[in-house]
Amino acid sequence: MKVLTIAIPVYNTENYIKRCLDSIIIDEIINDIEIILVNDGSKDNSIDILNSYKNKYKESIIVIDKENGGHGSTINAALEKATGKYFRVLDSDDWFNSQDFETFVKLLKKEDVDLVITNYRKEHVYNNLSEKICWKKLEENKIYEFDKINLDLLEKEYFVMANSTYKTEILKKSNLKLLEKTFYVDMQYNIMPIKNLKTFKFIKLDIYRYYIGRPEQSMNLDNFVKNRTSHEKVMKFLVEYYNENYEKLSKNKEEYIRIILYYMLTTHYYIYCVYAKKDKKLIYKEIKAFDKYLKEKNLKLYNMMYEIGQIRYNRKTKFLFLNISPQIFSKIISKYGSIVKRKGV
Amino acid sequence: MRKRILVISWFYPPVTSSEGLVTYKLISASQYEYDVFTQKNSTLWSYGNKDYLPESKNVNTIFANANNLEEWVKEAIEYYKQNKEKYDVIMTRSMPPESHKIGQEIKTINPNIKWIASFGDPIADNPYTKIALNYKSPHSIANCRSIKGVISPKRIVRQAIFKIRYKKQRKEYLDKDAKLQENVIKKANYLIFNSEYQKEYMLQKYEETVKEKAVVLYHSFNEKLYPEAIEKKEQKIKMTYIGLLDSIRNPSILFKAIKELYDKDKDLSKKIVFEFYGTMSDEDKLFIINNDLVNIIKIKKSVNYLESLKIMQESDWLLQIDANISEVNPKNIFFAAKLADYIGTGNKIFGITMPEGISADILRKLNAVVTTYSVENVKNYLWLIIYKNYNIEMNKEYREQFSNINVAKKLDNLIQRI
Repeated sequence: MKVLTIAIPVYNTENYIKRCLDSIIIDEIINDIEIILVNDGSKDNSIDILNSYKNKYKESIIVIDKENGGHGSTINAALEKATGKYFRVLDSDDWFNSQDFETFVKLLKKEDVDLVITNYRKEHVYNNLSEKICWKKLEENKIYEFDKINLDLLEKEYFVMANSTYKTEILKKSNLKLLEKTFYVDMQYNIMPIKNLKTFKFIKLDIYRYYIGRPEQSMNLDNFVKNRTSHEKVMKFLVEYYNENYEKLSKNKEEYIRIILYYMLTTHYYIYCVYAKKDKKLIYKEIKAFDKYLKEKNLKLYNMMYEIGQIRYNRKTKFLFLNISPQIFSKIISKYGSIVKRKGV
Repeated sequence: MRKRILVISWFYPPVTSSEGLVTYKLISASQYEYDVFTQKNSTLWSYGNKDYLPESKNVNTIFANANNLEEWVKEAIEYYKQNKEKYDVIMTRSMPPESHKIGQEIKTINPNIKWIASFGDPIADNPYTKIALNYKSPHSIANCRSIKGVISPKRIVRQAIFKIRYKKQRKEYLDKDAKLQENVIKKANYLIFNSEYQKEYMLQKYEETVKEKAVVLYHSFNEKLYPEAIEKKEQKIKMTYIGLLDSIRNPSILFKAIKELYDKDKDLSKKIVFEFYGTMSDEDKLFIINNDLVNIIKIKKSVNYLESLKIMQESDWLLQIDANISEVNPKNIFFAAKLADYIGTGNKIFGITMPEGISADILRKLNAVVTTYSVENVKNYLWLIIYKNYNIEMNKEYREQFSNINVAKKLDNLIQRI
């Protein structure tokens, strides 16, 4: 049995896929890993590059060539085929730090926790900024029981694709089916496996290199606005998921998921209230409708969002002055804040 | 009757610069006959005037007596006036752009002559120049070493005057270049660019009829100029960079990556050596010294062209480093001529370049290593090369596109059409 399955979604990344694959193909560990390359209907020559690697490493590489279905569909396809004990995702425009990855695979062979987390970096394309995202409070190599930890240990960080290696069975048991033809499905990936998570461990290795700044990336702020319906779709899915599950979850799991939802909802409101610069009428309608939806679906989550000044202000003003700058907003708050606070919360 | 072409180029062997060598390799493989009006008295902007390369039967060089550019321009025009009957076509080659000024003048003298204008780099709106012109004022706040300096009214006034003057001078300078480029693009019958990226960048504002005049001719290598392959003596990996580096096109990302590897492995110098032939900024040289990297990174004196080909051939990896011009343009439009010579060796190439642009395109098609301006990205590939014996097979078929014989065929097709 392979120790690790690496799912690599590929869509029009012919310029980057070589860097990605070169970083994980290391003689000493290639036989221990399974690489599932999922070509999601790329229109460029990505598939040729994938096949050339497959021909060289037949025992370790599987290529799935399918019609375009979005990032989520690629992970669903890979998870269905995965035979490795552990599973992680590596986007094809990102790469791994090979040295730490080699050590990681060797350590993983002796591992049996549900989730192994590591550090990672965000590599900003155009200004050569390398931003290291580290777990500072967690003890290295200690097995933690998720239900028993103090969540402060996680220091407002959470388990994301870039730092998480889950046991494949945990993901399968979680019925992890990511939404298709939708952006931002990584939010589902970050939340849904938690339900079945018992143990986790932090290994102090710095593996994932998250390449940021390509204009077409969904994490680009303009694209957040452009793809806001996707974001809304995933948010609604997760609110429903929370509603269905929160009573069954342990205290820690419920709180952890709620905290993540808080971050995600903050981003969601920010897309409309801060990032969007055009189509104000439409934006106004959409966010107002979403706010109403949230209030109806889960009052706890809805009220939690009052903590964010921008949202508090916008609710008070019925979203009429959506993207007032945070600077101006804080001036208003300092002048009229007491009224907003008193009536709002 | 076969056409005879007059090439006007400030640089041509034995006076070498990248432009002179590009011209030499291209026309020496052509089926047509050329007279090259050049000079050998001035080494201005060149690598020297002693690069005696094998002469070609189809190329005759005419050396001006001029000692400077201004005299050279006058002499070239005079030469044409006296020999205009001999030529069907003229080809002017920048840099420097003065050759195109000669082309303009010749076109005025003889409107029927067919004029091919070949651009090494953009003359106007050159992204590299744009970055270079973001010159820091000596009175800038960044140069202040004390609070007294920061609040000094004298400094503030000087800074303001500097800004106004500099802005004016810069505008005059840029306007002059823009006008020249515009005239050349409009008046020349054909335009040669070294990549689609350069063509697109320089012709973006022009209509289709102008774009139809454009031809892309890659820089090329000449197989015959390389020495016989020799057997490698050293066990350690040798990575070589040949050419000019400065504060804009700089190796700092690479150096930082080497430093990080050295911090973890003090025996790194036994495994790999980086050799740099040519110039480099003082800041980068100091980095090598301050970080105890002198045994790993070696700076060598500039060498002549044939010697450089020998060095390239003896290296395991060749380093291609491009300037990061993303603050002024999202794509790299500069095709460094040495890249074609690197390709000619068939050796492995390690590129540090912008994610999109001509170098990245070529290197990817060659199956070379392409890294962006990320220390982590560069370090990872170096680690694989040093410790994991990472290897690549260069794409031989694609390499042939850069052979001077194949590139010259495209030039010949163009001349045939005239």
